[in-house]
Amino acid sequence: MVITNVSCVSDRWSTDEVWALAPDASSHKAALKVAKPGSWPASGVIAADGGATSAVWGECKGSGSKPYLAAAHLDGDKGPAYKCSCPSRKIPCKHVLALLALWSQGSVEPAEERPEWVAKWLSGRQSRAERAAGGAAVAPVDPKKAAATLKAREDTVAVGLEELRVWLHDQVDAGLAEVPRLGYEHWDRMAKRLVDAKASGAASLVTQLPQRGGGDHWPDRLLERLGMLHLLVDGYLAREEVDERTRAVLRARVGISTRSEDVLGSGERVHDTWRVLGHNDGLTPDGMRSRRTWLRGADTGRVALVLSYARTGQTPESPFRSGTEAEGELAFHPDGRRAVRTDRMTERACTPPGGGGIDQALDSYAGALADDPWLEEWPVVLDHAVAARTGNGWYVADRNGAALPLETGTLWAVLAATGGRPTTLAAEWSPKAGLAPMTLWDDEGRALAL
Amino acid sequence: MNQEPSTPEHEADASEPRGNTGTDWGRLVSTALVGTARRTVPTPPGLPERSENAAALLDLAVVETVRAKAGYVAHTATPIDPDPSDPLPEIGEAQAHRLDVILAGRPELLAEWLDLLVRSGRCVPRTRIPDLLDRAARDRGLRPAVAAAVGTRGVWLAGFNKPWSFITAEPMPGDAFDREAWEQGTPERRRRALRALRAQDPAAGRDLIRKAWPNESRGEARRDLLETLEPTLGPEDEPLLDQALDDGNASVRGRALSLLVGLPEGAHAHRLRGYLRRRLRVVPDAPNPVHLENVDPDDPELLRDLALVAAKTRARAKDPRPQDEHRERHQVLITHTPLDVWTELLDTTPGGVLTRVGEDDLLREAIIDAVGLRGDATWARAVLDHPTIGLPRMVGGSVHDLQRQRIRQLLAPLPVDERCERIRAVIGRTKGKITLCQVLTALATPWTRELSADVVEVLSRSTDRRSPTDTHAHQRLCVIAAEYMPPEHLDLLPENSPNEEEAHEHLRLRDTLRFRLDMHKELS
Repeated sequence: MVITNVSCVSDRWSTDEVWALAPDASSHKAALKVAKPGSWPASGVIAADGGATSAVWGECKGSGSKPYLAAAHLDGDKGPAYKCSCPSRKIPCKHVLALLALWSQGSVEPAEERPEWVAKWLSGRQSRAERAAGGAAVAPVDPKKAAATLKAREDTVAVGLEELRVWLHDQVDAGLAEVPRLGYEHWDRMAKRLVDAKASGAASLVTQLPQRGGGDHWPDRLLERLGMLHLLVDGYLAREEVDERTRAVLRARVGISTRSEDVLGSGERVHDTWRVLGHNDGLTPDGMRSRRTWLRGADTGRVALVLSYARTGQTPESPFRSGTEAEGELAFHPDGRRAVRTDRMTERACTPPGGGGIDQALDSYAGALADDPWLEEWPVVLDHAVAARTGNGWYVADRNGAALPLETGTLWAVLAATGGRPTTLAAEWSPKAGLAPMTLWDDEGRALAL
Repeated sequence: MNQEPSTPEHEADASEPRGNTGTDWGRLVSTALVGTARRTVPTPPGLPERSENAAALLDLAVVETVRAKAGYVAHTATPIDPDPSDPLPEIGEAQAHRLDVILAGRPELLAEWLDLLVRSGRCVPRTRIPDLLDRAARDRGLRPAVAAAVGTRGVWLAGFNKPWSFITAEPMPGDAFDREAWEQGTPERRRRALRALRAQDPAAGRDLIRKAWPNESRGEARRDLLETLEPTLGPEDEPLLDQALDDGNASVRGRALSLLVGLPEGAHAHRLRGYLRRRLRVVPDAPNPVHLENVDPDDPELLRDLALVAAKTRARAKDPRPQDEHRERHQVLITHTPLDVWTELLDTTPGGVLTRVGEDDLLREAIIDAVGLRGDATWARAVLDHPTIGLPRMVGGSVHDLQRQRIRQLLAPLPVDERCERIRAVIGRTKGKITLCQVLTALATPWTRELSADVVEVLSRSTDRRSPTDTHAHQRLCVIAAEYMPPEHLDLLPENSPNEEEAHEHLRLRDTLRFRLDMHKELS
């Protein structure tokens, strides 16, 4: 849980924000044990020009003779980065977490001097960032060549999707009644074929088809998903006839992704004051942890999704802090939704974002579906959200009594924080999972990440 | 549309009509199950003409699916009643961090931390409430402190989650009688309401109990009613307790008896004195000058007053040896009778009584039990000071659990300083460090500076070699010191242990004391 205090001008993070970085409960626990000043004979804060914290470093007494050298670079262009000389594979490791926790409590002093290892790491990061920025500017990708590469990829995928089309029709022609008797291989063969055709997005949609008919209403569920696949295939195969944005959505959904470098190099750039609505985590079909961070432009009203991934045992990066606002440019993927953080963004605390009622939230979801019918989660901000209950379970209601079912993972946290009083709430909405809260703002305007 | 949060893909519910296209989703599904090779699919207006049946079916399916998602209709639900009270001020960041450290790695300090918090008049950050309630649900001992620490917000929150309902029974400062809770509430809320009333108006509380009594069919519920009498027990409560001695439930009778001990001037106490006087024979010159005659096994009055069951009604006597039954009755009688009967009868001081009952183990043990039960300081001192059975004797051998319990009871009525002084006086006489550990846990109070210094001295004694038992005892002693030594006595502890092999425990002890010291400072 993360509390950002608006009234506090310090850029120091709260301890909760630090713990939110912990990859898992055990590293949190381990870090708490080293989070005492006595374990850190040497440490320091490196200030940026404006006086804000640029980096924190420290040397931690370990069991061995050499101390562990831990550091965190907080104002890097791509969000925070961490380094530690310990052998742990977790990022950030317990030493970095402990160091940041001490810093968040004001137990790490600013230091003029910095050890050589810190200076070296920071300057290395600096020059890499410059190289990356310079590279994009100096040598833009040859547009013709890029278009040819993309065309070739699209054609490979098209071959796979043609096969998928025939396969889909075969399933429906033959009837789905047999599905419970078919094994895993039945879907898997088609999925593998799609992976070979470089259509990983379509492949994972096939893998996620209900297998062995499990669960209630499986025929309904299966037919829905087959329908959505059918729409994807038909849409993709007609890609020459649709507008550029729809085509980009289709590309992204079948699995033709755009590299972040290319997005930064030539993607659409939108300048705005981006309100960080919050983030929720999920799992990708191949077991990676993913974090969806949602932003909304204060002027443009544009919604942006920033994705970060991490292997199991690690926490995906948080490129933005929930409840703050970041002024500057976001670079958008061709689908117009997914975005990448650019170099020059300044973050600051802010007041709660404007929100609406539940009908408005549902309208915006429907609007987003028109652009991308495969969309699962969509961010909504309710300005008068209040916990409600019926015989069927928990809901979130607006001031008119309209309500959406609540995804109950954060129920107690929400109730404890609000006391059942109305609050501004940013949440992800999906008809499938319900309303999954990300951030709420209390009476004093403090943001609380859930 | 029938969209329920309990079935995740609500829009998939086939039993309801979906949208207004005229497409019957149920028919689509059944066609898909049978197969479009065997059944044709009509093309509704607005959709492209398809040559393949399968494509036509999937077209319809996707239109319906997206329509259901995009056309999701909001439900209606009534907001819950909000927490009506203003929460106490929350603690700051440093204190909240301290709590996190305790929750993650030092759970043994949680009770102490909560206690400090409650005394500081603040409450935990609201976001920590669910975690604390979960812990208190698992650990009964934490409940009173957690109830106070989570404040009214926590009690309100617990109302929504059954496993947390225990919290609604915990009395809170400023509780007032809530008639609605008493008349319609859960057993926990009823208990709390009754307690609040008893605290303000004992007589009104008693009336409520009397009225509720006949309606409580469960013995446990009647015992809980009696339970609420304890904090403000007074002579007027005796008729109620006396009546409870006739209850059909053994635990109700037992609880009534133990509460009656708190009314030494009552009719019940006088009856017990009478029973005892009638059965005591004093023969001044005999080796055992005081003798207690066998209690008549069939005296129904006596058995009732002692909450015992008569021998013949006992179901096939589990314990067939009459000797043991006598013993039990003697014990129960002596333990529950006011101690003044002894000083009057033998016309001597409490110490004199203990000497005169002499070597009769049964009598003496029962009297000491009575002293422990009543918490009488004069008698407790007499026992502790007694040359043959006093504290120095008790700690001379190994201190088993029963004895530790007894030491704890005897020390409890004395002022803290006196308790610590008494322990200091016997530190050198305990049989080994393990016994010292047991005596120190029986003390069950923060130590005086002098006692801390003495324990530190024991810990710092240098030794050449230790047996495994010694090492274990040393570790135990460090753990006990970490728990009971007031953290401001940290300065008494040397930086390093004189014995290298104990350096680790020593550092741990210092570390815990320093941690507790910070904890006290933060919440002072």
